Amino acid sequence: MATPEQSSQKQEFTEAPSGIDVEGLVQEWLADPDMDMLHISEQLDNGELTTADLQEMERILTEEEDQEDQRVADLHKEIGDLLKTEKTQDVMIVDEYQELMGQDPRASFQFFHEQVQKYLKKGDDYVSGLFFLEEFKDIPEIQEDLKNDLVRIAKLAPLVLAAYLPVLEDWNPANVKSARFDVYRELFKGRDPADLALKVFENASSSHLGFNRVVAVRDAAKEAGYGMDERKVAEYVEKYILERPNGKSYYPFVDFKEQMDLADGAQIQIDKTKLQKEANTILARKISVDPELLPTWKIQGSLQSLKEAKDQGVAIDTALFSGVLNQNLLGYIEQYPVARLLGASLVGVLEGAKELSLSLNISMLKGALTERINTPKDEKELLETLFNLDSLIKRLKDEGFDLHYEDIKAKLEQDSRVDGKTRGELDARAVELFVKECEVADDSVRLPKDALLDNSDVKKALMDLAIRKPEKMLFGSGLLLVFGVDAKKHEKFTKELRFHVLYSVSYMSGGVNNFIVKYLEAQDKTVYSSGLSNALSSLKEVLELADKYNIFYDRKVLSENVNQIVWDVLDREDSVRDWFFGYDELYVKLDEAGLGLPAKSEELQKHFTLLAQKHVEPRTSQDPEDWFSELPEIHDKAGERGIMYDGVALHEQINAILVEPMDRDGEIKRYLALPNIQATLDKAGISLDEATLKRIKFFSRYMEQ
Amino acid sequence: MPIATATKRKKLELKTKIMERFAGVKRKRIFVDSLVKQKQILTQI
Repeated sequence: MATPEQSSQKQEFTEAPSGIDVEGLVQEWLADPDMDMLHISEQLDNGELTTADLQEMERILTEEEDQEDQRVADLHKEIGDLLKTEKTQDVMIVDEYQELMGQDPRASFQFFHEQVQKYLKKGDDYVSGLFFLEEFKDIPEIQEDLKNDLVRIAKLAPLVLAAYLPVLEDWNPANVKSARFDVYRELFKGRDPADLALKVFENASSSHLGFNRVVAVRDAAKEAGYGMDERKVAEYVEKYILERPNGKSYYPFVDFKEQMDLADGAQIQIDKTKLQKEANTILARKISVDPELLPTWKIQGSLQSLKEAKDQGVAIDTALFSGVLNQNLLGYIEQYPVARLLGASLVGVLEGAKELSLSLNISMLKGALTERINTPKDEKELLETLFNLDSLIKRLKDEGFDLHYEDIKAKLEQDSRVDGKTRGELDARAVELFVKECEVADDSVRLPKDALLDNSDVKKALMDLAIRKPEKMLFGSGLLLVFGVDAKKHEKFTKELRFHVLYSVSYMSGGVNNFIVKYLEAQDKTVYSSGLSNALSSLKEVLELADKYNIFYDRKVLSENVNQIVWDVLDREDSVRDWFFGYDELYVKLDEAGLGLPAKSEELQKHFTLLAQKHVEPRTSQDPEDWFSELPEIHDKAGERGIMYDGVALHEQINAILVEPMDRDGEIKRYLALPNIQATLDKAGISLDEATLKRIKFFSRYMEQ
Repeated sequence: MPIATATKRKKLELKTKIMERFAGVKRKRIFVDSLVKQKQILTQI
């Protein structure tokens, strides 16, 4: 049984909780940056807190303190791990070297010496400080130690030393016997010089530097009495020239000739004939594609690729590519409908071929064209060819393909489907076929003869089709779906058609507004601004028509919706040129149609800033010099149009990109590109922060390794 | 010892401990912040 005193003691410890939210109170103290001991003392003395409350508060704070201890321990460990990484070590060491070098180069060498012992003892294939080799070479009293260190590096970290061989070429200390020779002997002992050369070539930040290193390795090996497997090196370099990474991959073999010259300069015996032949084979494979995918502009594009490869030094095999081009053209003629020949231009292809001295087999192509025109795929094509034969033959003649008009005409007219029929009968048959085509058409239809548009059956078929596919008639160039018809010549009918469609649309759910927005949204998913611009080209006429005939739509709502679609499309543009093209083009169209919103500068600024940010963010190029290359153009174009952008956001983004941690090669490239990056940004009116520059320059010595 | 006096003493002890703990948590939080910054710097290198 407890004594009174014991009882009183027990009572002292079991004073009940007061119900005050002590947890909340403690957290409030901790969260308040101004809370000090005096305030806490006052609150603790207020008399309402019981011992149970105070004990609970102490427990909470102890728990908090334990958690902070744990966080400190965790952070110490994480920081310790970070400090162990090679990159961090390098930065810290570079800093230390630089400081020492400024004060006393001998102390700097001493530090290097310690580093060599430390790293190579650990078995690391790495050592820092070799970037001061040039300076160390000039301090007579350390040459013996330097030699010993270099021999040690040659033995344990051969690749590191091999990369520095160009610096050692003139190293001949008077006070140390055969210093360079001993280092070279150690480097090549039991190692293949070709392997070493290729490895340091591969690790170099530019092929120029790489070739220099190969030369240095070869010379050093020779001096040490070793031969280098030249064929092994040459084969590697040949492969490198053919497959070298190409940031601007839209055309192959960038700097082809320059790389061959560099190899020549390094006296690497590459097989240039073989290289040229392989380059041609690769090009031929690249541009020989499925003829079905080969409209004339693609053929022209492939000729452009050839021209660019030629400019880079590839000796174009004219016989090979004449053959490829003739084959491509044959494929094109065979696959494409005759009617397309009316619209397609072969002139560009012919000019491109001439520039490259490619010879076209004109007689073979003429034969193919004659054959193609003479064998229409169906009755419609037969009629279409007959109706348009004069202009087709004239067009081809102008382009250098003088076909035998009379023979072709006679052959076509012998076809049992047209033989003996009058012009009127042929027209009637063409109308019949066209009406059938309109009934099932999903997309465009083709009127075989312009004059047939006056036919009432043709008009009715088009009216029906226009109701079925109203967007085709309302937008674009009006009669867009009726290929072969000159819309201007038939303006009255075009208007009639449009009114007809517009009137029907106004009875659809949501009316004209909904129809236009839905249509543009559908376009928006598939096209960029140039396509949208085309779709908007007749909006002005459509709305004028609606105004004139009191067909209802809400102009204000339409304007907001259409503007939103335009922003969405512009935001998706990948190219700066297309963005501004779209911006100018679409705003003219919207203005003309009376749908342009009053210039909202903040809206414009927002989208424009997005454009600028987009062009620095994805940074698809491996070459840092390209990262911001589009900004000056954006800056100039914006200036011309008085568009502002959020300079702060862009500035921060660019500075952040430039200090992003990268791998060693990335750091080197970024550092080397810095002057050009600065020049580019300068043109774009963007400056770099001091801290950013410092951060990049911090690596300046380190980069040279 | 009267109960009131014992309780008062106990409260005084607890108050001191609470103030010590509070100061400890505050100090350690400042330290943690500086470590977090150090870590950020090292991560950015």
